[in-house]
Amino acid sequence: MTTAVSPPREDDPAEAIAALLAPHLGPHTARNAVRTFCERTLAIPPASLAWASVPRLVAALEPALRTLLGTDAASSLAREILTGVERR
Amino acid sequence: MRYLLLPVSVAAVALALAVLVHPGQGFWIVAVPATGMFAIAAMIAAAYSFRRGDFMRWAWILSAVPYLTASIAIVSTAVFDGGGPSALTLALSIIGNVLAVPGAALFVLAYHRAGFGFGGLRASAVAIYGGGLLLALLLGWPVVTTSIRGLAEAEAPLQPALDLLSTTSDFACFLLGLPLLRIAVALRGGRLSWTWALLAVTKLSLLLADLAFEAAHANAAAAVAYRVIFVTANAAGAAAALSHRAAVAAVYKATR
Repeated sequence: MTTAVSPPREDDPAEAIAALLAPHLGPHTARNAVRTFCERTLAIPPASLAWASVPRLVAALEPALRTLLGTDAASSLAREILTGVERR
Repeated sequence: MRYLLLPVSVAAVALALAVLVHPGQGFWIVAVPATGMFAIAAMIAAAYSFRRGDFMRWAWILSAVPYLTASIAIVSTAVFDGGGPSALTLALSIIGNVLAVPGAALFVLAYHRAGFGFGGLRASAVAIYGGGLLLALLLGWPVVTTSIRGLAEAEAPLQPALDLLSTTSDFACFLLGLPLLRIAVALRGGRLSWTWALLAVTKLSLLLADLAFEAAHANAAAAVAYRVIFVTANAAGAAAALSHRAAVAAVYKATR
């Protein structure tokens, strides 16, 4: 059940987050999750997501990830995304 | 894929033991409890990869209960029940069949609770629900109505009532297998898709098992098919649990 994924654009935070989620949720649901939470939490389309808004998006995504992956794995994944953002 | 090897090996050994050790009742008192207990162990292992308050811990614990009750009921039937089901078998059958439905429902609910949505997978949804409901109507409904007729015509209603409960529970689980499959399609390409796909296999196969059981009285091939489906469903349940545990472990590995 592996699907070919096009490499994420490094300057696009939405795609960078989706790329980190994709190995776990699959590329389709990873992109969908980012889009849904951008619209629900920040009221913006994923293309408008700025690096500065990523922590808010991740804070909203973490409880959703917790449901499927558990508390510890979800917070590890959230930390990984935030660490990636801080490197920029 | 590694987590598939162990359940498939256990199912193969259980089937071989059932045939070699005791060709008659051997299947029921060796293969089904053996694969059932393996599924329980895998589900408990999956449950303990989550914290106490995590949704998925309770989903796996609840999912393990029907395997436990079925395994004990099968052994107790073979050992204690001569002229009909004992109180223990009766209680275990009721608990197992009733809890099988919410056990499957929690995995559907989990995805909806996460709120990731399906994002335009309408064609696959139509194919899954359309095909599944057609199968349920054509193949599943006759099995349920046969059980209802059996209960209506029975002089001693206890066993037919248990059969009806079992087929109704299997029918409900088959219907829950459809959203599980849809979720697996949405998660395709991700590690979690294996968990939902294998859970869908266990739930969807119950209807096939019931059909094979109905035909088994008159057809030897159907009797073999019933046994194979039963053990395969147990092995798929175990593989689903192990795949979820592996998916959680993979997050730590990826983020270390």
